[in-house]
Amino acid sequence: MGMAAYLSQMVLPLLVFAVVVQALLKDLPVFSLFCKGAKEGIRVAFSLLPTLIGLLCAVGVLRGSGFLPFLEGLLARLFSGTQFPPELIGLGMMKVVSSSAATGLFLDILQNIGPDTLTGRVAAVMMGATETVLYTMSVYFGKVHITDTRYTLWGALLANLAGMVAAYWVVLWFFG
Amino acid sequence: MLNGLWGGMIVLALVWAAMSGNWQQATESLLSGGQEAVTLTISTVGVMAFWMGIMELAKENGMLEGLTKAVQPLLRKLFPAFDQDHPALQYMAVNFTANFLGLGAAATPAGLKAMEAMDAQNPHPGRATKEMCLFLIINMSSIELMCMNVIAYRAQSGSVSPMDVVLPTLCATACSTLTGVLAAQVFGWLSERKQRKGGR
Repeated sequence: MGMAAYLSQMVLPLLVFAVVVQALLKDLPVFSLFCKGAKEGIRVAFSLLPTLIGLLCAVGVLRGSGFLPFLEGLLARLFSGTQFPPELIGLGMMKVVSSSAATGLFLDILQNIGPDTLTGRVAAVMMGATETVLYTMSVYFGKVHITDTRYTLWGALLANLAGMVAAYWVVLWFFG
Repeated sequence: MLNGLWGGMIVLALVWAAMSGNWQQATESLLSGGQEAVTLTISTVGVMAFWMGIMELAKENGMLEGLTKAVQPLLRKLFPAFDQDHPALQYMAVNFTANFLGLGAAATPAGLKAMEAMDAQNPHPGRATKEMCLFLIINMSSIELMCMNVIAYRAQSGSVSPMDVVLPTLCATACSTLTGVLAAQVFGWLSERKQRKGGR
């Protein structure tokens, strides 16, 4: 559907326009504020570099050793009834455990399958539609010393599952 | 979490390589992974920095605050246990807004403050309240508009139009949030019913 791509492309320019105009109207020093934020962005990007190096090596060697292709073959056979690409099942399972490890798998998909394929697009949407449930729960509940988390885990896992399935259908619907 | 996972991945991969004799490919991957990460970071840092710069402006010109105010009526409906200007509601609004714009670094501190504000009224310390469960489920399935790093990675790997996943992401995350809210209501109701029965 061309409309979706067209609307998606409008989001960033419109947002930037609105933010800058509003800042100009308030008579803010727009460029120095922008540079302050950008500097922080650079710091954040490079502080993630060691994690990224470690994980891309690990995912790369998993693929190079033949393990990842083997696992995908296994998942493909298990889920052969559904049309869900096997790489995405691995990505979805990894995302619940670790966001950075999932990023490694996501980059692997971008490189080996391509960003503009069905699998590549669904993977991108899934990265946004799922969250590292276990880690997030331990940070938030740990902060207030809560041990009985009741139904949070199941609720969050259910929401994540819905997000993954929705990612697949929405991409199919938008891009056919 | 990542310690065991990363160690496990490396050990598993190398044992697998040894068994299947893929020594050369394993070596190549180990040597090129780091380079790939550096290339990736350098080619995406521009996008990330640009976005953070724009978000700094949005913070200073009051737009983030405006967005935060705009979600409050909805939050009051979802969390009727809190008064209109309860601090927990305000922190939650900041948390959800930041998640919406892909500002994870700003979302977490506000979210933790929301948890503390909720825990201050917790009748059973150590046990999550209904509101905490709902808040965390929404947080972990949050509606997202801008997933800037995903877009930057797509751009770097040669996508023709890296932005075209924005609308689909919005739809898919709306589905997951809706499911999360429904699940929290149903589970909350079941858990209260069980408690009432147990009390008799």
